Amino acid sequence: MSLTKHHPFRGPTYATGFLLAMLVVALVLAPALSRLQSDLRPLTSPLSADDLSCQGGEYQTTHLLVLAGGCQAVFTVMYGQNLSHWSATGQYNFSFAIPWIVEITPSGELVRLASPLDPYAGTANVTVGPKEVNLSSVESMNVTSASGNWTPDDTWAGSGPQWSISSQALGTTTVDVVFHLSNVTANASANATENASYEVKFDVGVSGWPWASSDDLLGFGLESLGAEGAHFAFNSSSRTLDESWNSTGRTFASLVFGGLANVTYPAPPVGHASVGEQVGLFYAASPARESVALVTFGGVAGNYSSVSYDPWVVFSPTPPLSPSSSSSSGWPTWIEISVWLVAGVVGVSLVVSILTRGRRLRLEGEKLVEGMRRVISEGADTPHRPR
Amino acid sequence: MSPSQPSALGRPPISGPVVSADPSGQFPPWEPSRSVVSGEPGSKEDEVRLSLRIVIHLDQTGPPGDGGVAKRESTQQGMAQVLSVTQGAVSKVLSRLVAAEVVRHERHHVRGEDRRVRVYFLTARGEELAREIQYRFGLPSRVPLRGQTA
Repeated sequence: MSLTKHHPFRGPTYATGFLLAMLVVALVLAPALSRLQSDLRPLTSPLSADDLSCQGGEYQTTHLLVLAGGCQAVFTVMYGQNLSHWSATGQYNFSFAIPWIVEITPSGELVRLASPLDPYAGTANVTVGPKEVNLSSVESMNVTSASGNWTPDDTWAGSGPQWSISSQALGTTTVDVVFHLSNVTANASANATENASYEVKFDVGVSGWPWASSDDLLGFGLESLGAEGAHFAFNSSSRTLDESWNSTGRTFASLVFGGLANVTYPAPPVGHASVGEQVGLFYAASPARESVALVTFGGVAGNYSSVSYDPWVVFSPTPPLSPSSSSSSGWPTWIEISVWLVAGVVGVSLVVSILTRGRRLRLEGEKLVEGMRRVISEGADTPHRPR
Repeated sequence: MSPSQPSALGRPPISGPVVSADPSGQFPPWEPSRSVVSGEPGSKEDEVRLSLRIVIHLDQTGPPGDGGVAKRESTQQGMAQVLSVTQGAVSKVLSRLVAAEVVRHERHHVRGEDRRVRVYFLTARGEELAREIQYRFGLPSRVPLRGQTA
């Protein structure tokens, strides 16, 4: 008996469909996993390993964690749904520091500058009241003469503003920064809850400034370090420094500059300085994950003994889990597209496999029938068949 | 049962050359090769032989009787046991015969089973094939197969 060799149709089978789907999954998810790993990479902690001996403070509520760096005048506000792990929340942080206090002439020339001492000379602590929690840092800075121009909206590539600063101290000033979590139901525990405003107000106070001229203005830099994968941009209409994700453009945190500051003279009354148009920005790069806003206080006579200013930070109402999840209401993200793509490929592979399997089985069945008929016809004349 | 008697299916016997059940000791062409019996991957010829045996076997077993209770020999497991081949080999060939509309399957009660199981029957095309086999080889409508007693 001889059977003709046949080559039945071999379409994609379940195995090939599965392998194809897995290949697509690997190709699509490889950058996603890389991106996820990058997102979860912790940012620089406000407390480096060498600074752990310094006195710092922190306070945590359900979705907010505020850290006051004892060895640096840095405050870090972290915002998210899982604050128990630094790497999971680091991407939502918003760190602030006061890098300089400056005195500038009405024409914008820098005359005096104070910057944090090295080593740091200050204290930070947390006080918990019945309705609010305060995190404060009090720091002394040396004031020196300086020269240069304040040019807003510049980009400095890591070198900082090009100012000439004298090393000879002209006096000292005291800078205090206080964060107020006024909406907290404070009970001095880490399980405290805040209401839905998601705002963090903070005051910056400068006192004891050795003025060069009573015509000058005082200002301070407010350095902001945002989340990895995010950038800052100043919105002049809302007077906010908005932090947005690079991937989606969605703003999740805004630093709101107050329009007024209170100044105190050695003798009453208290004056009010306007800060409106004097907010300018330095950007570290474009898009800027780091920026310095120079907030100057004008409209009042100089020589005031202290100034108090209270900007605040507003976070998006819903704590985000990840940059991609924060854009669910907008365009589908590339992760969602990838998931749908993979699902589509798997579905199509399954359908193709099922269809081709039926066709293949039919063809092979017909071959069997053909083989049976051949055996029947040959078998009737086979010599060994007994008759 | 003589060839002149009606079969269990009620069909008249197919006239044609009548042969004894292998008096020479030689296997007819539908006998399985060793690879199919042992369950190893068989050749296409093995599959054709098994197909022939399955068609003959299903022609012998027929459809379920009164009450819809089918014979165990109509199930995959029963066929594998009667034909002395692996259930995998039977399943593979049956899937092709079903696709070629030689065999159909239904769920029926089988004695000794709590649930209904899948049992196989010949289609009209399968019965035509069975008649050709019987005509060519002079088989009676019920021929003792391997593993069965006459």
